[in-house]
Amino acid sequence: MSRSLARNIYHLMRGAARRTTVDELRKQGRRTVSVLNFRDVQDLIEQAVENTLKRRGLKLDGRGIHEEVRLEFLALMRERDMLRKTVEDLLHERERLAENRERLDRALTATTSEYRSAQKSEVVEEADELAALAAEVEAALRDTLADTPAETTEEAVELVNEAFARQRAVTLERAQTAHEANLHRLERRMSRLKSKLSETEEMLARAQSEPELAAIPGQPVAAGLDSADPAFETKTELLSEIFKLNVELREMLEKN
Amino acid sequence: MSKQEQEQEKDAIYIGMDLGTSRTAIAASNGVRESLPSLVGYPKDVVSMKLLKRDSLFGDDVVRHRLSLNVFRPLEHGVIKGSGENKRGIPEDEADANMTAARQLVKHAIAMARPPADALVYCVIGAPAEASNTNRKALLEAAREVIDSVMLCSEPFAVAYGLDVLTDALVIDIGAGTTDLCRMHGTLPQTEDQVTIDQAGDAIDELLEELIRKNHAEVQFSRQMAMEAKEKFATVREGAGPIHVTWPVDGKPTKIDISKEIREACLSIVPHIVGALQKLVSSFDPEFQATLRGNVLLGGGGSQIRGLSDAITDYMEEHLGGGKVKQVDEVVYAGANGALKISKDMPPEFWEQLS
Repeated sequence: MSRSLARNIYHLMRGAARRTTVDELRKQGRRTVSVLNFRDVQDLIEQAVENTLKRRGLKLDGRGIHEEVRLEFLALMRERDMLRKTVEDLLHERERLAENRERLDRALTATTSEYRSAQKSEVVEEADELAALAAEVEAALRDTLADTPAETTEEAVELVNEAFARQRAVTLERAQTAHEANLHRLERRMSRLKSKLSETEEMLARAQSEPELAAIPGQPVAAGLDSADPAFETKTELLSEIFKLNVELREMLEKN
Repeated sequence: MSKQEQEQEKDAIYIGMDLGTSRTAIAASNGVRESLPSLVGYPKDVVSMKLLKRDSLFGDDVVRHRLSLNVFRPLEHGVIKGSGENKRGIPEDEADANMTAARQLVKHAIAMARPPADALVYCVIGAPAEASNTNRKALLEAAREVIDSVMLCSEPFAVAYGLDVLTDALVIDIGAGTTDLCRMHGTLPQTEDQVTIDQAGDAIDELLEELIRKNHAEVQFSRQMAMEAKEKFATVREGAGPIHVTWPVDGKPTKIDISKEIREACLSIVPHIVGALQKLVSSFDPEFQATLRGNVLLGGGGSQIRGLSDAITDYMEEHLGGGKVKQVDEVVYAGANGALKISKDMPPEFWEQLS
C-alpha cells in the first residue's frame, strides 16, 4: 500500500474513532481492551483487495500491489493518454486534409471549366456592336443630309466611319488585352490549385499510412486474424466454417 | 487494408459473450469484462416499481430484490426456455416472456460493455455444443435487435479457441444447465465431436437439496439457500473438514454440518462426465486417444468445485486407464474470452455480410 494511501486511511480511522480515557474505561469496569495495530488493518485491507482482484480473475502474486506498480501504472496511463491525444490530433488532421483535398479539387474543376469557356469566348463582341452602330449612324446621316449635295454627304459619312473604325480598333485591342489577362489569371490560379492539391494529397497519403495509429492502446483493434499467427491457416479455415454455419442459420431464419 | 475496412475498424466494438444458464459473461475489445447472474426481474406491482425505480432489473439486483419481483431465468440447458424443442409443455405466453427476458438480458450485457453510441457492435455468442438449430435461431433472434452483427459458435469450442488449443485436446465446460464436452482435432467440431449432458450445476443443486432434506428433515431452507451454500463451499475433497451453515429449525437459527451432502452432490456429476468423455475418446483415432486423454481442459462455472479436476483424473485412471485434467485459468471468463478472440480474428468482410 502506498504511503499516502496508508496515511489517508490512518487519518480517516483517527477521525472516525471515538476517544476515551483509561479512567473512563476503568469506571465502566473494563480491565482489558483489544488493541489493533494499524499495520494489521493495512494487512487486512491489502488482503481484501487481493482477494477481490483474484475473485475477479486478476492474477496477482502474494506481494500484492506495490507502490512501484502503482507508479508504473500511472505512468503508463499518462503515456496512453498522451498517445491517445496524439492519435486524436492525427485523425483530426487527416480529416482536415481530406476536406481540403475535396475543396481544392472542386475549385480546380471550376477554374478549369472557366478557363475553357474563356478560351472559346470571342473578344470582338463589343467591336461588332460598334460596327452595327456605325451602320445605323451612317443610315441616319444619309437620311438627314438627303437635301445636301452628294459629295458633302459622302465626306461626312466617311468622317463618321473613320471615327468609328478607330474606336473599334481601340476597343478590339482593349478587349484582347483583357481577355489575355483573364486567361493568364486563370492559368496561374489553376497552377496554384494543382500544386496545392498535389501537396495535400501527398500529406494525406502519409497520414493514412501512419502505422502507429492502429497500435495505440484503447484505440480500435485491428480486425482480422494476424497473418503472423502460428496457426494462421487452421484458424482461417475454422473461422470460415463458423461464418458459413452462421450464414446457413441466418438463411433458415429468414426463410421462416 | 481497404478504406472500407479501416472505416469499419474505426467504428466497431467486438464482444465475446458467454450466455450461460446461471451466469452471463462478456469480454469486449475495449477491455471491459463483466459477468452477472442470468436473471431478469420485473416489479410485481406499482408499489415495487415505485420503490425500485426501474421497469426491469438484472443479475445481482434481481437476487437482492427477488421478493418484490417476478423473476425470470430465461435460459435453461443453455438455451432460451420454451424455444424450439425446449418447449416441454411451457405455455406460449411464458415462452414469449422468456424470449423477452432473454432479449433484455442480452441488451443489458451489451450495455455493460459500454460501447460508444455510434459504434457497430459485432458479437460472438457461445451456445451449448448440442443446441438445435431452432434453439440457435432463438438465441440469434434475441441478439439481433441490439447487435449489428452476431455469430454463434459452440461454447466449448470458444473456450478451446481462446486458449489456442485447437488440436488433440478435450474441453469440458461445466455450466449450470449443461456440461458440454468437445473434442478438438484441428477442425471445427462436428456433432460427433461434441456431447452435452444435463449433469451440471442445476443437477448438483437439486441433489444437494434432496440430500439435505433427507438427512436434516427438521431444517427449513430453500433451493436458493442450498445453491448459495454450494457456490461458497463446493468441494469433492475427502476430509475437507466440516461445512457449517446456520439455517432455521422451527424458526431458530441452527448450525448444521452439510459437508457430506455437498461432497456427495458435487461428486455425482463425475461418473457422467467421465462416461461422456469415454464416448468421445473411444470414437477417436486409436493412435491419438492417449494424447486426447492426457489433454483434458476443465472450464465453466461448475469447474470451480474444489478438487474436481483431481476427482475426474482419478476416475479416469480407474475407468479409462489414465488421463490428465487441467483446470483453465479464469473459468468464469474463459468462454467469453474465446468468443472475443473469434470475433476479433473474424475477417471484417464476414461481419459486414452478416450485418
